[in-house]
Amino acid sequence: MEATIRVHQQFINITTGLPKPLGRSRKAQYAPKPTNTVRARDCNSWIKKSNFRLDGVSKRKRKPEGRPARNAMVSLNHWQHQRHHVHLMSRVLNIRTNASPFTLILDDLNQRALPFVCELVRRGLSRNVNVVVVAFETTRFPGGVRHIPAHAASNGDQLLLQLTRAMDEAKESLVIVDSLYELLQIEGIDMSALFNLVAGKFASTLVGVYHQDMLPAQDAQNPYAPQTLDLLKYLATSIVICKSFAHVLAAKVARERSLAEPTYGLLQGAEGVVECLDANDHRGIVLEAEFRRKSGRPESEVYFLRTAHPSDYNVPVPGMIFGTLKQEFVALLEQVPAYGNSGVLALINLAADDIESTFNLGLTEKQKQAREGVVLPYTDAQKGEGGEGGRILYDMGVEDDFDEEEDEI
Amino acid sequence: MPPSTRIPPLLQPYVHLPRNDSLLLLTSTLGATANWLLIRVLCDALNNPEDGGDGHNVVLVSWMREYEFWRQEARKGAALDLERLKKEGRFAFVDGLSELCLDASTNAPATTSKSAPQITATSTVGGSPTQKAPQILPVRGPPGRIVPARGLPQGAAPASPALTSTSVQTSSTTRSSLGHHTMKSLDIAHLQTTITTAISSLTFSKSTQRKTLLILDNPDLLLALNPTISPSAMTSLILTLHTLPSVSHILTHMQSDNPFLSPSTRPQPLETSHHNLLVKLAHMSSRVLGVRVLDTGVARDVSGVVRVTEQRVGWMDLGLHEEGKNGDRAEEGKGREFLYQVKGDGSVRVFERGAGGEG
Repeated sequence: MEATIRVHQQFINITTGLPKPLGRSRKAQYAPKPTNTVRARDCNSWIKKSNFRLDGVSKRKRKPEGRPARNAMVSLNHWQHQRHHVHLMSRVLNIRTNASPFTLILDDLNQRALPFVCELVRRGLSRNVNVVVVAFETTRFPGGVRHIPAHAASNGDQLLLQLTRAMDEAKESLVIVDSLYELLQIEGIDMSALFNLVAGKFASTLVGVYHQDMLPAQDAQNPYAPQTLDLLKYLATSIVICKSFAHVLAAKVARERSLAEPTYGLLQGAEGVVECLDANDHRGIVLEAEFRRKSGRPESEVYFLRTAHPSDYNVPVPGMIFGTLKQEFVALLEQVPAYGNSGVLALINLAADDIESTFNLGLTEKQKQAREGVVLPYTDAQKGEGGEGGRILYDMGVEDDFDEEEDEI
Repeated sequence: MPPSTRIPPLLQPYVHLPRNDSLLLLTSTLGATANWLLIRVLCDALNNPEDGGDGHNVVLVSWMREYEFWRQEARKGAALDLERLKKEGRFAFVDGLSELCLDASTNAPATTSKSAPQITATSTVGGSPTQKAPQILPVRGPPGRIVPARGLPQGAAPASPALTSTSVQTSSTTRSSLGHHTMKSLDIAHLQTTITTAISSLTFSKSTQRKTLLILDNPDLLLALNPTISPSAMTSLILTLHTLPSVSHILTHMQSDNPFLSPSTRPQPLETSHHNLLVKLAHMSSRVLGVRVLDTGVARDVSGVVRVTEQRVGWMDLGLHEEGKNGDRAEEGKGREFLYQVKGDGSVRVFERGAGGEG
């Protein structure tokens, strides 16, 4: 028992509760290591050497995953479970070979996919991966990111040609489509052709964003064809659904109190509300992910990717735009203190304290001052001759008009 | 500067254009028009002397209102003299309404199309009775309302085509040099060339680093006018215009009424395309300003609610912010909502919920 605990302490950083980076080989992990948790800024195996070569690149071939035999009978305990799932997400985020050839990201206006996509791009650039964006939504990109202005593309063949040209110079690329909906609107595009090109021919990674709140166009010619989103879900090797952290918290609070979960944004049905107030939470983004193994077995877990800071990355080595990641910071949602019991309990108590009414019972500073200024009848009666026997104490406001008849009683 | 007093201090940071080049979205509903907010954006972009540059050039493309309306609103609400700015080469107007919609009705003579040129180019046409002018003037009303061609007395009918043709000639010859452009076709290529000429007419006149803000007022009308235009073509046009080196920001104003947000169970094609255009633009925009009526009903001292939400992670900085600004980020992370009241003289009061009162 004691031995296992000691092993766990090796992998889990005690202070943060987060697993240590999992970039080393499996053998190295099990060997006792000095407590150097932070990845060096120019570690040899991490940054891809000679990824870009202009003269005849030797393409990498996709090989079947050579997994070491596992004793599958052993059920994972809590720590192992957490570490395993964080490792799965970390592989996708770090664009590890064969981790997920086609990742489908589903987002909506309540939480856009950009924080997640930017994290992918940063880590890709830090590993010297060729990042290509098929852009339907933006025109301005930072240096180092190749982009194809796909919004102006007229047909699918032209787009694939441009993409081939952009990927040709590198051994390994990361291709990001920032709106799959728009991509499939282009005449003559074939999703499987794109997949074959990126994942098959170039052995690279394809990431596509699909906005869930776009309405699918009705297909008059082919009414029985499946919806494009269903097809994409079928094709994907990982599916990541983006949610706002604030909304997930609110939903949990509602569940704990056995209330219906609140709806947000467009679903809210309020006239004129396009985006809800706590959309795109600045603290981080909640990712509901499903990873599909080769066997077809899905593994699902909910993650929390906090907002990245420049201090999470090493200083870039010369010639690189981004430094390597120091330490993995994606975590399971249940590991996040704010989502854990204490944080949510405080919110529940807060919600229970609120008296439910349609009135706003709070006071603003101005209202407080006005309230202080009111002279109550008994204070008036205490001074001098003790009031004037039933005189009505009332100061006329701006909005009052004097009504003579009412006072003639 | 006097214009800063025209912009309510609470709204100032949100009316001010973001530092990075980006797209912005402004939505409004039938009951709450956003023209006052557009004017404030115009005002802020046309004169702000701080942060290095000297403001922006502005190209206003309107499919919903005529130039005359904007000129008066700008003068009333923000004390901007659009005529002078046009002459200085800082402002250009692209008229998407009068040629496309108002001349289309061949049966009833187009009364409104000639009203705008008639007033600005006063000396050329003096034929029609002058007391008609105030009646024809575009007044503040619900957006979406195109002034219906009123039945003129039959005697005036033969005279009006001649009048419009002359005014069109004058606009094409003299006024286009002053920054007034007119769209003559619903074709998307024509749209693009017209707006591009309008933009280039500004940048050529100045050699400074001043960038251009492009405001598209109700381009969703085009979806209804020309069913062959798809939302993708529309956003493609916007992005193509954004790739022009002189254009830094594009602000799009669209309607966000209920039928567009949550279409009926068997949505009609127009509903679908409008919804998709709105959602797509919202996804593309780094800031969404929404104007709507009060949720609790009509109030005498509140015209509506303005909501500001921002997407702070952008492609340019890849979402990496300096940690030094941590202090204000907790405050800025959430969207904000304010109440506003548009007064009769065109001034606007903006205040937080519950802080209304008189003052």
